Amino acid sequence: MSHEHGVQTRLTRNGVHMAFVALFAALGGSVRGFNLLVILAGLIIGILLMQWRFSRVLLPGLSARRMLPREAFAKTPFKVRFAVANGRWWLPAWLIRIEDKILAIDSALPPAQAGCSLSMIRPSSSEATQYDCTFSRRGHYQFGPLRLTTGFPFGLTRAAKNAAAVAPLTVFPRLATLRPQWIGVIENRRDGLSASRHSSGPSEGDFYGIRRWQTGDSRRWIHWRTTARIGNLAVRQFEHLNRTELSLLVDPYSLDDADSNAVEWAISVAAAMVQHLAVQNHPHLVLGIADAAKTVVASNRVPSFRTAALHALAGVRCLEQPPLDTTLAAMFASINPHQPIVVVSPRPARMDLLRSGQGPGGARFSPLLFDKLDILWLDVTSPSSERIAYRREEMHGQA
Amino acid sequence: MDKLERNLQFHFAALTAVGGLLLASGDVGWLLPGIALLGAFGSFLLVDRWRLFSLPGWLAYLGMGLVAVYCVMQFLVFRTENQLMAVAQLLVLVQVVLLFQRKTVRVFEQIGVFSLLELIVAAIFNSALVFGVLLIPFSLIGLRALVLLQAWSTATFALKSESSFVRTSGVQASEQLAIRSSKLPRYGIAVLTPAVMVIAFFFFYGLPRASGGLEGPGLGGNITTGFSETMTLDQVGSLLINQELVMRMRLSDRRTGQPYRVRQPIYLRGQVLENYTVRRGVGRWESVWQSFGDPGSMLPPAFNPSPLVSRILYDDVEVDVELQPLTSNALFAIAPYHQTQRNDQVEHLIGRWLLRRPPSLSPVAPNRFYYRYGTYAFSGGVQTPSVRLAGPKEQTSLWQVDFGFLADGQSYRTESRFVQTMLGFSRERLPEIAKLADSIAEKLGEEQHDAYRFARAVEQYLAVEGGFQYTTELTEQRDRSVDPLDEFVSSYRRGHCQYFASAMVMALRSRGIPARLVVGYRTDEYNGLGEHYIVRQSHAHAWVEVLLNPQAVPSAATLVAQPSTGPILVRFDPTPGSSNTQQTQAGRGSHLYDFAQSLWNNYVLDMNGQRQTEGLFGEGGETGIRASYQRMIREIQDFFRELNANQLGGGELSGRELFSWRAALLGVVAMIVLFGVYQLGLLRWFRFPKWIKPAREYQSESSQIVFFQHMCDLLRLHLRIQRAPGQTPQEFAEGAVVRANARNLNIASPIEELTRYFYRVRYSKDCQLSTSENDLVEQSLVRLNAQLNHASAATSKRV
Repeated sequence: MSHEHGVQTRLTRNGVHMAFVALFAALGGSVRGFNLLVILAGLIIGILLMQWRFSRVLLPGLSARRMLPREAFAKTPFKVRFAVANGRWWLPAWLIRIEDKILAIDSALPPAQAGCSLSMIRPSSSEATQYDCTFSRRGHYQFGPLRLTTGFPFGLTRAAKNAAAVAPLTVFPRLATLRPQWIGVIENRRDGLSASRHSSGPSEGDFYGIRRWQTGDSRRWIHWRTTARIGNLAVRQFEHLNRTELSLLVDPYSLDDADSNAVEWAISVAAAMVQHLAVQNHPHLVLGIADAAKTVVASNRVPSFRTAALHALAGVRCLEQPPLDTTLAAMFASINPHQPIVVVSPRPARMDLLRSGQGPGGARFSPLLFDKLDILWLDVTSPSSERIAYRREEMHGQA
Repeated sequence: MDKLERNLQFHFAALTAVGGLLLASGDVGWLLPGIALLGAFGSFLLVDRWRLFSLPGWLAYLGMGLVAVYCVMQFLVFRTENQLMAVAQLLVLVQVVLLFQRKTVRVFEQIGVFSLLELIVAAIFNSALVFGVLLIPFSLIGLRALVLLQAWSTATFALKSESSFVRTSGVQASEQLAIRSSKLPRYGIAVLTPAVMVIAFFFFYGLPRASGGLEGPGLGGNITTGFSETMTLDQVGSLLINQELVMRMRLSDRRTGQPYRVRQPIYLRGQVLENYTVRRGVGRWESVWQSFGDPGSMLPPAFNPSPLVSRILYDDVEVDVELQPLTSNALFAIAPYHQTQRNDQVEHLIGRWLLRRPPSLSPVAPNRFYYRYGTYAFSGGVQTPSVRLAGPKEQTSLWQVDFGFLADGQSYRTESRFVQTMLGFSRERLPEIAKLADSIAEKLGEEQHDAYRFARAVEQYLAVEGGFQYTTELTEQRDRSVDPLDEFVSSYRRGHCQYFASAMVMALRSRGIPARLVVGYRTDEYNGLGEHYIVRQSHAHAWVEVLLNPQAVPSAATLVAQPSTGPILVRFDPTPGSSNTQQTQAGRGSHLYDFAQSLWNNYVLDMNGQRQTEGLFGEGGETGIRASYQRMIREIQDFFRELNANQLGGGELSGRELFSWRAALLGVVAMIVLFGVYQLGLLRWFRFPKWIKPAREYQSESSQIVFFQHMCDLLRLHLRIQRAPGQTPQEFAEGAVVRANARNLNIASPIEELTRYFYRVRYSKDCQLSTSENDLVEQSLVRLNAQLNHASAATSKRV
């Protein structure tokens, strides 16, 4: 972060008015001999001079630091904080405006202005301030440059100084709210579920309790003794019972802007899934995004799968013909072919789009190989997707 | 935020009101200022406070347009001196329209600019001290309003903004700023006012100006001081006593430089009136203007008396006069006078001992006029009643022709033109006057031929023995067929100074003694603060001047420090009570105001190029600045001498001897020195502190968790506690708490909370805090910041 110490000063509108009045009074008074006008001119000029010097003197001793959050999500407010320090040991700083600029790197939209203010910073101390910021869209943004300005005390001039360079921020997609049992819904929707589930150790976890049987529970978990005693199905509860391993393939299909909400929703659902799955210990997760770059993020290849995946989702660009097949093929290097692959898409299932990809070794997917893959197509726009995630209307209602 | 806004609205309303009062202090009447006052407070209540209504923008612009059209038409129709009235009208009415709008930053700025323009107009209209007094609250309110406007503008800056991709809000910061803004105006004003005053001072006294003063008619108020160079005698009813100021007159002893105090009232000559006529029963005195010698000459030079004449027989007095704007060209002087300073704008009339402004100038004197002369007329505080007719070097050969001197130069010839003007008398028209004179002469017996004794007898008769009464109530029923002077001496036997003087002149003329009226002022009102004499309209007076040959003037009236030859003009004052030395004295408050007004006039209103030059470079080769310093030192010494003697301001500012000024001053100075030593500390002088610490880069290894990094920044800035490489947050927090406790800082709680939340975010499953947890983090940061700032402030005060 670099600091520039140059201070620019300019007359404000009010200052221009007063300067004209002072000029008129000085000329009229000295030419026509109206001494009162000369006095008034002297007072106004004195005020202008002191205003100019004072506003210039305030700023050089100030330094500012912008603190952006580590993560930001679209449509979720967060605070942009500033710490402004006054290095002078004798002069406070008053009425400091902090002007920030926000630029959308991904688009050609004009930059937005943001800012906040401070009333007073005592000598040799610092003050903090902030403004709330809410991005409507995911993407890559740039904050800055930062400007400190002040017009103290009378607002006749305004001094400005650049205080901090630019800082980037990636805004992650808005997280959809997933239903509590969404994983079970996914797992139970396919045949052969149990075959794709991976047991990583001698047990499925530590048994710690009994509960009633729920839809989606495996028959293996049934505790027969308790069931016989109570007359209802009871299952064992395990810690780390489920260590689900999924692969996600995001289909950023969009014909035009009318479909952008749907694809954004799909991205939000995918992001929520990533978020949910990533908090589990050592899950093996793979995310593929069928964009132009055919992005693949695998948990065993990045230090933080969650962050990398969210970063990737933040930069997704919609396409009319997303390369689903080639992206799936690229994922093959990282996925476990036995783990389910969930295609998160804003359109109805188009399995045919996946078949034309090439399998390992460059060979095309054979129908037999393709049939062995556990692919689930999740159309986020269909009513049945409500079993996975709360639709926005319900979310608003619950909120 | 509401409180700040309300405060701001009130200040601008008050500014408008004071602007209206400033206009009222001039000559614009009370309608416009009344509109301004009513508009200011009405708008504050109806629009700002109660929010009952406000003018929509389009209606306001329409209103302003109509006002502009109306005022421009008035401007084009009015004469020059009233055009400024149209401008004032425009300013006030447009401002009222603005006040009834919903206030935004722009509206406030416009109201401020219009108030400033009203101040300019008031400065042109009005030059009284009241303007200067009102300028103080106007300036204070105006500056406070500007500071509050700046605070409000900053608080509302980026309050909420929205673009196509982002929405930001600085509401929280704005609220905090609004809460803290109430003390801002005092900082701005207290810090900058002394510097602004100094700049204004140097600007005002350093700005180049024209050498002289204005000669044209000014745009200021009308001339309120009048002096008539004719006199009418009639029963006009009750005369009003007018206390309007005519002039201030500073007498100083040239030998000592000290103010000169008189023991009897001073007679100031304004005009001499020789010709008396009656028309329709009304008497009228006029001056007979004749050109004797030069039509208007320089003041006569100072007379150099014989070395044998002891200097204690006369006083060398210099007279400085500040004459208020007057309706005539007359100037007022103490005769005999002489020149001490060349002034081309003052003429001396030979044979009349009158001063005036040259006729080539404007017939009226619209501006204050300053002039100076010297006089030897005083001796021991008493003004001589006798003046040699011809001043030094005025007895040319022409005098024999024009003034009718005999060849010896001592006596006058009665048949000369000049003397004849002073002998005009009609026995047929003034039989009672003649009878009166004859009766007085008869009583004198042989002494009746002594002109001086006869004149003294007439004076005595009218002032004391004759049973005449002084009054300003001229309400008698008159017989228009009778001369008013005759009625005065025979019927009413009461009147004012003009009647008494006129009667005496006529009585003397009836006996062949040349006499004339002198009108002017007579005063002994002294302002101790300003060390000058005050002359008011109520001091106007008329007396008698008798032309006598030197042998007729008794030894008691021997002239000192005047030419030794030529006829003598002797002053007589037959008005009853004129021998009283005490006139009506104004109160202490009036003198204080007069002194302030005098300073205002001298150092502000009437500053011109000539005074600037005199102040900087002096006159006559003397270094002005050096003389100024010497004068300043002398005045300070005089000040303390008078202070100790309880004679400050001539006794007007004397207080009771309850404490010693010297001790008090010494105590205050000692306290200031001690306080300064305590604050600064001796060691500080050897430390060569830097005035500005360079703004440092924040280059420490930063945490990705924002609030924790903020906590680290605060601890480093205030306590110089920095996280070591490899040190865990918990270790860092514990170390910081220990070091803070060593400095008696109780910041363990917020540090521990923030550290706990750090671990929560850093190592938890979801890596996110709930809304309530975020609020707790905020509160911890605020608490920590407040305590550290407080500790820093306390530390800097101790240092």
